[in-house]
Amino acid sequence: MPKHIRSLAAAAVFIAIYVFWLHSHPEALSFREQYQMFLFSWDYLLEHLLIAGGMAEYIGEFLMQFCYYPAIGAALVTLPFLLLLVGISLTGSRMGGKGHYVLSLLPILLMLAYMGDENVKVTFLVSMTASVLAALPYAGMEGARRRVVTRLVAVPATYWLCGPGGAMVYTLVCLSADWRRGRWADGAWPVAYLAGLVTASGFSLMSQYTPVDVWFGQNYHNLRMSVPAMQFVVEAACALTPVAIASLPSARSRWAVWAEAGAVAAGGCALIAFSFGSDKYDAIEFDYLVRREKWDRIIEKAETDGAKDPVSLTSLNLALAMRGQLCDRMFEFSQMGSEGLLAPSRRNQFSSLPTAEVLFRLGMVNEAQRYFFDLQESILDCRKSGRLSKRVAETLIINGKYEMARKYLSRLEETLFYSEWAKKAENALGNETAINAHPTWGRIRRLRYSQSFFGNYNEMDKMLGILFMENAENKMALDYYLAQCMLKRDLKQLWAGLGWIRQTYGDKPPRHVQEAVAMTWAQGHTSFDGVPLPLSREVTIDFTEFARLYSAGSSNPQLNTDKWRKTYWHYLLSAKPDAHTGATDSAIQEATR
Amino acid sequence: MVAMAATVSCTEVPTDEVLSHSRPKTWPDIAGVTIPARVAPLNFNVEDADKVYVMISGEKGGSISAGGEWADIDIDEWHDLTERNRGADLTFTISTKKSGRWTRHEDIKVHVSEDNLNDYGLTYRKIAPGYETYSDIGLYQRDIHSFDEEPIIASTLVPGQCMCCHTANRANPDQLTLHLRGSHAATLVMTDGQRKWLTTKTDSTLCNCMYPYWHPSGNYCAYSLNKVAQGFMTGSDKFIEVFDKASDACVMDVRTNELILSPALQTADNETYPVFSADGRKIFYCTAKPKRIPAEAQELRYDLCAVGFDAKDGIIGNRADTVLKVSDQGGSISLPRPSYDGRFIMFCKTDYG
Repeated sequence: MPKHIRSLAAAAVFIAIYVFWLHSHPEALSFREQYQMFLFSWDYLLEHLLIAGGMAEYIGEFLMQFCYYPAIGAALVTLPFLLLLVGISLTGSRMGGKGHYVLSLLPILLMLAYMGDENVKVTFLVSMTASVLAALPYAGMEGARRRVVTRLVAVPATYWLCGPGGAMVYTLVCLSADWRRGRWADGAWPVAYLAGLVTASGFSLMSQYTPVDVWFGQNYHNLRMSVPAMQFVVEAACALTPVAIASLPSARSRWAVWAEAGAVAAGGCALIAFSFGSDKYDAIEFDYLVRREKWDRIIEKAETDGAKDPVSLTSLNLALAMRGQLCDRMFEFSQMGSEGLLAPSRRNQFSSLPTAEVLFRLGMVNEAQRYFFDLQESILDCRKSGRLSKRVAETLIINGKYEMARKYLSRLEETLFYSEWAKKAENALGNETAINAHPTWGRIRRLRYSQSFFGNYNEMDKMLGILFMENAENKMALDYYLAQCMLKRDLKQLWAGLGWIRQTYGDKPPRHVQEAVAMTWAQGHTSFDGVPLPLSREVTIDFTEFARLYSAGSSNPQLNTDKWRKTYWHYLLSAKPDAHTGATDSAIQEATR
Repeated sequence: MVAMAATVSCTEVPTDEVLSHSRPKTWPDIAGVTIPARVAPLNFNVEDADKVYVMISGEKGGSISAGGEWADIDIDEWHDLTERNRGADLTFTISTKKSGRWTRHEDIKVHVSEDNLNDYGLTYRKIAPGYETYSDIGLYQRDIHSFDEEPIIASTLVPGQCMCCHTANRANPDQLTLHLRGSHAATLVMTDGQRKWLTTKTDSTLCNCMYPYWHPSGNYCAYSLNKVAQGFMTGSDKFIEVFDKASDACVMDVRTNELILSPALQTADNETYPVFSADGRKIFYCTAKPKRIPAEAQELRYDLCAVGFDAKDGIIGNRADTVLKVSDQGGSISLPRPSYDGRFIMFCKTDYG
């Protein structure tokens, strides 16, 4: 293949992968970026250099930090892909390859597909790239003594800098280059050499790591109890593709070349689509949009794709609340009880992240701090998070814990993209006027609890009620209180808040609240005269129609049309109760006693 | 001499100092402490200072200096100075720099003990002060003569596990117990080089064994059994309370892996923190009347009691004696620790809990 064609092809691959990251899955990069905090300090570098594969991790984290700005981060994360492609192609060429360069796409597509697993770290990509590039000079190296010395130095170097996977790829590429020379026995001893190094390391420098970590890499994947099979597939592809390029007979016709390219591309793209197509990416995208406060985008996404899990639903309900639409529109979407309003705290790094954001904005500062803190402690590779550290610092500032906040801010000042914010925040410490005037801190400080009591997730409605009682400015607390009551079907509790609803909403209470009140009132009354909350004409007409259809049978198919599915009545009477509810018809009646 | 030291070490030396009669607020606070010779250097910095400089002089001779953002004292020089000044005082002459100006403060004295520092060091757990989750934790040992620290077991070796309650028998690590918690939970009991990993939850006890304390013979280990709960506060002054919903105590015979139970230590009250007396004939423990948790958590108050123990037959007495009652005075005792010579018992006293 002419060089200029190969260059164009490489550029096209770069653009394709860049567009993939930036436009199809920016959330995948943001997800990884938010669980790290790259520090520009000697200690941070030293910490990485003290473990096998640490340099690859350091470089990976360095690149990943730029994903704070997706357009820049996507380009920098795509760069190792391009280098890997070029490295494999050139290595195959130096081994004597004269065709099949399209095969160098294979490891790249496999790597990209593998990164559909959100726990695969960029460390692995950097490690594979660096080790292939390290093997490139060897592929064309003359002189047996020179080759021996090179491997004597490079095998331990790649092991320590790139990790065991990278060292193995390097060793196998060198072995296959020797095989191509007809001197494969020359390449066998480095395998034993590497095995010896890894064994010795496991008993010394890496003695506090598990055998799986020592042999297969402790910083390639966040889940460390086992190694995904796909890691071995990608490593094998990186190690063996150059020799495949060099060894396969040249294609006889242009059509064969195109067919080969088509097969690789189609297979790779199908694998990538499968890998990035799981539902978890919906949740990741919702959280990505929450982080960027793209409330309208969240609502649009839910309107087209739905919100199918507690994380997504919590994000959607937050977006509705931020747009003042929570109690007007929440039942237009399929709800799943109170766990979809405030997903409970779980011991992992992600599930309760949207909940933490809700609690923060509500003014439940201590609860938010606990969630953000535990989320950070749950990060699988024990790293710290810029996003989460920033939030913890904010909760400390709001609570006036300035010395503790200073500790977090001093670390954030060593980052690239959080440092400016951290410096401004540090300058404000102790300046009550500035903090009270801050649009976020000052507002949340006014909204937070003034009294101290034991919080309990299972009594969230009461906690929300107390929060609103202490500050009627906190309309969001009232919205969440009402939403919680409706989701739990606790209409008695909702009825108890009628005074707050009138006080806050006046003549125009939210739609779903009107629906709840209409349903409750109708249980014991034949008309809406005297109903304690203003009901719109539309709601009363709709209720009459709904009641007529429902009286014809609860399984009346007309009740499942869009119009009725988007009402609170449908949720109240048709959906399964969640674990926290117990409301039944009798509870509806009791609400109006 | 100061100038020579500065030339060699590149430490900024104070010039044009303003004299102050105030004592500097060092961190940590080292004023008036007594230290053994050859202990790790008392590195420090000073609150609100940009830089610090210290000249340390021995009453029996010798002097060293250090400075910078921290007074980072050379270990070998420090060891020599303290060795030379056993039974005498060291004088710390401290100067601080702030906004470009040096201030010299009132001297601080530190006394060097005549006693030898024969022990290696200490062990501890490092864990982020969190709520319900842990990540990068580990048990470490530290050489007290220097700052050398090594992991005993770090979370990288047991991913996802928590390790806690590591307890040696009177600081002798030949007998050691610790717990691992998580998906592969177990209690390590190590005696005479033999390691056993035990599941300590039984049908006769509340839960897994928790806070340990060795019998001086090394044949038994007392454990508490605690159903621990946390409560999280909404106010800004206090974030978290930790309390026992219920607790008992027991003794494990480490030779036979049997738990020795006693009605005295498994009442409806909360019994916890069992520790053996120096002669091994008593078990001291803390006990409190149960309260509704979390509503009455601040009324949970512990007293110090004791019950007999027969090491020959492995029997816990049935009669509990009150050693120290503070609950009726608004106090609460926790973490009792008898001295190894049998003369004292140290404990924490708090308002509750």
